[in-house]
Amino acid sequence: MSQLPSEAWPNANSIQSSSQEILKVIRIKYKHVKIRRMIKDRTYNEFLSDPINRKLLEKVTSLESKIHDLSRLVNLQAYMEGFTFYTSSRYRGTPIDVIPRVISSDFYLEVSNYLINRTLILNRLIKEVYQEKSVPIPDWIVKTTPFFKPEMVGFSPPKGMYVYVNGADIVRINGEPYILEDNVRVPSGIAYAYKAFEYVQRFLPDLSEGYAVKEPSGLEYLYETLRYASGSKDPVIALLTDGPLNSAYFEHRFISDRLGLVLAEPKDIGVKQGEVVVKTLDEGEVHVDVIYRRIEDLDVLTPELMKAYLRGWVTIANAPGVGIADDKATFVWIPYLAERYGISLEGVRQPITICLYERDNLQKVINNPASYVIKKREGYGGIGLSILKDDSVSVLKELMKEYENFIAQEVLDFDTVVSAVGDSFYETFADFRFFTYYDRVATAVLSRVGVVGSRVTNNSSGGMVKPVWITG
Amino acid sequence: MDYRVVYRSVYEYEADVIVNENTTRIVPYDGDNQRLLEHKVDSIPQGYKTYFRDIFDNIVYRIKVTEVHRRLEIYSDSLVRVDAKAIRVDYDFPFDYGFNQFLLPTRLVDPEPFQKIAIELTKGAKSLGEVIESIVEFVRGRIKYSPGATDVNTTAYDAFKLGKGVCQDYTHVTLAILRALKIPARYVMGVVNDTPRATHAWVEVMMPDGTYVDVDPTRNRFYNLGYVKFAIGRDFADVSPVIGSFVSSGRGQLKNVLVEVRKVAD
Amino acid sequence: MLTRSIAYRIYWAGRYLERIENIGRISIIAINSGISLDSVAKGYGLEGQKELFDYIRTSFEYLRENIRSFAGERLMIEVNEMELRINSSKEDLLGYFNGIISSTVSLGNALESYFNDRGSPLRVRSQQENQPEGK
Repeated sequence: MSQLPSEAWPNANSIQSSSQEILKVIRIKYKHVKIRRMIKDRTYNEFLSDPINRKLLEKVTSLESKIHDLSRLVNLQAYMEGFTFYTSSRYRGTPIDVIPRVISSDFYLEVSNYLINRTLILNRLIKEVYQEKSVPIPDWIVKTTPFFKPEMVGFSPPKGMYVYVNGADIVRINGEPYILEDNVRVPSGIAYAYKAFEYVQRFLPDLSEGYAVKEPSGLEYLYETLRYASGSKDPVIALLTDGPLNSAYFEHRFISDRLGLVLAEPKDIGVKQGEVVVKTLDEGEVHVDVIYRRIEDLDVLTPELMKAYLRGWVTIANAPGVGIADDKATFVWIPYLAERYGISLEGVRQPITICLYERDNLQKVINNPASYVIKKREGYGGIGLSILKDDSVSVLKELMKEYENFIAQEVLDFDTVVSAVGDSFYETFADFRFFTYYDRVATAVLSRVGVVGSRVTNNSSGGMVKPVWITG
Repeated sequence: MDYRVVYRSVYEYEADVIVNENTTRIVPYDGDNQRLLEHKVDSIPQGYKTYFRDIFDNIVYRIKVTEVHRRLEIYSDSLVRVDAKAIRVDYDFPFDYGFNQFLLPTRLVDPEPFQKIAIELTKGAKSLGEVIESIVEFVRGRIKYSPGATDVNTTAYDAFKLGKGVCQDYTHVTLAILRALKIPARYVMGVVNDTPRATHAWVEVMMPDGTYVDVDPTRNRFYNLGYVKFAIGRDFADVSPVIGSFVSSGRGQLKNVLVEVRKVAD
Repeated sequence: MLTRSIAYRIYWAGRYLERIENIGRISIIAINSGISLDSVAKGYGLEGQKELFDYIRTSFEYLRENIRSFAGERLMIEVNEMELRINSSKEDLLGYFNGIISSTVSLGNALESYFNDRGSPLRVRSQQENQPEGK
């Protein structure tokens, strides 16, 4: 069944000093449910400390064990209805944490303004590299990534757009937003944001009493963006998927259903003289104006499609080759690029990040590994993210072997939230993923929760999804 | 001395190749004792071509061929000036170089298993020159030149245990021992200047003044070899002349490699 | 609009559904005739009873993957209810296989209405006439 973390955790009643203070303060005001804590470091628990959650916390406390029954029901229902996120090609329900994460409209607006500007920068960078052929950051970073597409050099994409959609990962530290990744290639998650929200509204409608929660929206921005790029009033848009074993196939179907897109696999796509078609059994070859691609590798799966694109026969979103802006080594340069392009980046902080091809930086990290989180550049396999103090020797040696493919980041103490897992409430780490559709940000925001005790929040690592409420 | 240098590798495929993307380091290095006067890199069929310098300042061309083909030729034609360097190796040994990238373990060269050997080998050595020479003598004694015994993924230690190898393995083992002694040294890929038949590999050792001296453990030659270097790196993985992948239903193979070096001026 | 890849999956979904139902029916005949499930398994080229159950399980997983490629939530619920039957106790074998057959029938009906339920079909109908009733 759905893979909820097991309940065989050691008893963690002994809450440590830092949060004990916070807990005390709140306990004076009102009682709340017992929250188990598996995290050693000092953290700011946003659920217990941010006043925006007060009514919700009261509600959760009054429902207490009923929440766990409803949580089981939600997760069973999700499994039965096919709300899946695949890991290792097996049918698996997406685990849902039913405790919503509440954010204010002000916070949402602040983050979205930032992300709109940031997306502008990403598009400018990609345009500069491919069209103006001047690379404003070290040339080799751009040209060694597997996502660099030599055939895009000198090509002008429809309406000059490269990044139609990106899904930035945002975390909070003492309530302040920090950006961790841009995710501009084939970001997934918006359907999970919609569904997590819907399930909790359906089974636990009482929780939102006293809150003016915004309905999640944003997919219509995707549609409008794709339509705008097509240059046609009523374009035929196909969502290109690699099939049901894609971990986010649920989302591919969800989006194509809601937006009326043709859900097509590589073998359904045909390229004819002057046009791209989808081969159907009932309507023959159907002309396609736009391909919303949810596959990374066009070379192997649809080599002809790429040629058709370069001849201007079809629009592909995101444009092939946008991955150059998604490289962790490029991420380091975004604040510099903001200045270069005169675009202000305020409201969200970027963690201090250093590239290790520079000798001094490399020496600093090797001499003092415990003060950094290291991350490998996209597409280079092996370890993705490592906190050096956890596994110093082997990871450090991996790093030394190809230091230019790593970056190091300051260690940050992310804020924590509270999750319903099994029969208990746990303190957990959670991020946000905000979806930007060129110049608008969806109000359907996803929050991914790490397995209890872990900071890693990506869904492949088995974490849960949490609804996000934008209020007020 | 000016040389005209030509490199050409030909690949053949059993079935149609739809996409063929390669990263090449096949023109002479432009720096140190070399000046690249002209160069041209291309392929047949032609493809989308991008140029950049990697972190070692090597000249790299990334070429992506999307025209359907069953044979691919990648070639370069260059004119390079190679100057002699002033060589000095009588520096005191040991010398503390401090932190240096060319001391770190790499994918193919891990100095650690060579630690003991390195210390044993250099007992009593007083100068860097003595150290270099005794390492080369040792490596030549331990590894028998035998093509086909190793491949591009063979590590220094595996080649050492095997006792067989080609220039790449001689170079890797020499680098491993030098680095075990905390002497920064780098891998050089290039071509020899006397009727080369293939690309060659040798070593450059860093001196306390920051310059590098060249040593060829395979051919037992020392300093100012006069070879034409294409690329430098930590090990072979950094300097592979052509590395890439293709999309096809069939297999492919490297049919032949042609290297020409012709002296055009003194 | 029916793409080839979806058509292909519908074809296979139908085959797997039929296969599960078929195993169920033959097993019931066997049980009622005093033939062991091991012999039934051999008829399918399998080693014994255990493999027969594995075969049902695997067929179900393929069935689910194929249906998942096009189906919405309602159909998925039917599919996953079949999983509950397949995972249920095998103590009463007759009851077990009857359960599986009834779930294949109900999934079959659900598929039927998924493809054909367009409300009542349009027909030319005659208008009710106003019969003069005056005295």
